[in-house]
Amino acid sequence: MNILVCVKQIPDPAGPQELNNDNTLKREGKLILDESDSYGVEIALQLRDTAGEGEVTLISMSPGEPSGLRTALAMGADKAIHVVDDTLHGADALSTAKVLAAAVQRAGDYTLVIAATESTDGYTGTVPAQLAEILGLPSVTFAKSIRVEGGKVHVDRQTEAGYDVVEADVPAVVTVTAGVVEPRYPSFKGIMAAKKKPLETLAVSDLGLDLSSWGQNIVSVEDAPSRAAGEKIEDDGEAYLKIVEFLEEQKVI
Amino acid sequence: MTEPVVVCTFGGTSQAGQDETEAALTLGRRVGEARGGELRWLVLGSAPVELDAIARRHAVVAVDHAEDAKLDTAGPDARVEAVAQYAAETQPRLLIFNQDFDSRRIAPRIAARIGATAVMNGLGIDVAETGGLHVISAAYGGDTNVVYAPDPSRPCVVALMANAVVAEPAGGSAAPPETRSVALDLSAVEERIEVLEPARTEGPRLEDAEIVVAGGRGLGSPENFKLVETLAEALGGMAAASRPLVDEGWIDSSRQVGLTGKITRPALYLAVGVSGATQHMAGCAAAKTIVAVNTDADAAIFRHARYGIVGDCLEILPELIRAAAQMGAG
Ligand SMILES: Cc1cc2nc3c(=O)[nH]c(=O)nc-3n(C[C@H](O)[C@H](O)[C@H](O)COP(=O)(O)OP(=O)(O)OC[C@H]3O[C@@H](n4cnc5c(N)ncnc54)[C@H](O)[C@@H]3O)c2cc1C
Ligand SMILES: Cc1cc2nc3c(=O)[nH]c(=O)nc-3n(C[C@H](O)[C@H](O)[C@H](O)COP(=O)(O)OP(=O)(O)OC[C@H]3O[C@@H](n4cnc5c(N)ncnc54)[C@H](O)[C@@H]3O)c2cc1C
Repeated sequence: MNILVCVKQIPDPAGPQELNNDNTLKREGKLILDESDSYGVEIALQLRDTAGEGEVTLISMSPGEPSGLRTALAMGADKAIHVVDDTLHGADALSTAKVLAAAVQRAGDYTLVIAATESTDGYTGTVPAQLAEILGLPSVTFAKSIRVEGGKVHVDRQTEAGYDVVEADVPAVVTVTAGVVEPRYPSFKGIMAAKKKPLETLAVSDLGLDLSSWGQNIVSVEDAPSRAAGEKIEDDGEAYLKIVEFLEEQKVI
Repeated sequence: MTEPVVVCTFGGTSQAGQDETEAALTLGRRVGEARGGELRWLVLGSAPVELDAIARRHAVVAVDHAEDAKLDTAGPDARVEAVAQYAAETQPRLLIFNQDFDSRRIAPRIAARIGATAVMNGLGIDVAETGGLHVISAAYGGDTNVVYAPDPSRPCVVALMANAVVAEPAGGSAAPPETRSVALDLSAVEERIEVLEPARTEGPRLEDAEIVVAGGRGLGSPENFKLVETLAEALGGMAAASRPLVDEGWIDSSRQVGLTGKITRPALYLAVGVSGATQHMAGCAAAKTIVAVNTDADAAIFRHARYGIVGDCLEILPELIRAAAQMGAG
């Protein structure tokens, strides 16, 4: 079973996030595999290993070195397609989806395209559904677990009320919610092997796309306002009384 | 009809659903007033009971009602097709959805279909002096606000987060809206996703709770989580949890608070043994008051808490339960 996994390479969210003059994120430094995407990679590896055949191919669009892709290759993915092109700077979600769709179409036969529900940085949660729309494939969202059987994909899908069990024909685009599996750590052997795995680097022109304008500009990026911190007290065995007092004030009890 | 502002809703006539609809209509009306553009309300499938009253309250110019048996089930494919056909006819400048699991599924696809820009996690929309839209949205799990200026030559789809905008009636007496039935052809639509077993919805919704007691990993065991449930009950509120507890199966996923769970807005949010990760806070930051109990004085949750107690929740919870029971009895 061949599975394509869309993975984002992002500047480490734990570090300072620096912006360019156009308010896009500086993506020049070392990029890491978006943690949100490590779950999709893990699920794809498990599906491949359960099927006992096939390949996991990574697809990513980002500037710079494929450092995050190497991490996913070291986890066990078989190969990667990396779209790198300066003209993509500032690309919006729909343009990103178009690029990924073109890359998917070059990747040969596949059963599933897996992506994360939302990325850690942009966090719009739009790219995978748009990718499905462009490819004309079913878009199965918020998956907790994925099974492929008899030409169908079965998914436990999160909803407002809990989990639906749904199925769709393959190929399909499935988004995976973060935290649903424990992504494996790359082993030393995996890290060494990753260096020799096929990694194809493509430009937009290789994909036969003409993308010249973006749907939106970023006007500003600011910290979300946080509420003023309140009172903090050490528990001396009686601190609960403070809460009781507050509950009484609020007429909760 | 020049570049109307359209609010699109479907299903759900619960109180919370209605509040959110009214918030979206409030936002749509303000944008329409600021840049010129009538406010239309696109209703997919069965109409909310109070459709007329709500429409009048928010000075909706026209209600466009799209009825088709295929729109009464929660199938995304029919909804995408319906809105795409509607947009081709109406040419909206702005299409506003309330953000929930259903709209997160369809809004990006609709945008792809009609060549619109899409902004999810919307918090608000300002109109710039040039008349252009400035759409404010949350990024980085809610840590960051980003303002986007969508390309004015295309429509823009915005998914508005719950509790981001406070509903406010238009004031004055608006004329009753024009009501129109939208002509659609959904005959070619076949849902590609089949729901074999739907999730069960029952009981009160966490989103509607006035008091939420949320437990986190600091509780240590499912037995201890019962303390959270007992206290919630004693306070007349609802028990909730951080995601790791849901993943462990201590409590049903309908009680998960956060980015990938429920967005709550209670008067009181009592968080015990919760560290306060941004993904968790996304689901409770709108609480009127947050009270936290955590053994770690540096826990992030204390940055949000009106009252923070640095202490062991396993000692404090039983005291609170006792106090609540006494007060309740007395
Ligand atoms: C603070 C901030 C800064 C931004 N800075 C930039 C910037 O500098 N440059 C820029 O181009 N855009 C930037 N954007 C915009 C945004 O990242 C893009 O519009 C992007 O195309 C939309 O992606 P997302 O991260 O929201 O994806 P989502 O839709 O949230 O992503 C979901 C999943 O889709 C897949 N996916 C998404 N994008 C890719 C990709 N590129 N390659 C492979 N798989 C992918 C992954 O599986 C991902 O987990 C920024 C947005 C914000 C909020
Ligand atoms: C994309 C994404 C989406 C996510 N969505 C969600 C979401 O919707 N909801 C969500 O909750 N999480 C979500 N998460 C996970 C989130 O990042 C955190 O991992 C999670 O919220 C942590 O849960 P916690 O606070 O219970 O556990 P921990 O972070 O482990 O915190 C436990 C806390 O308990 C304290 N503690 C320990 N013992 C005691 C004691 N005896 N008394 C009092 N305090 C004690 C500790 O000091 C610690 O602060 C998401 C993550 C990702 C990446």
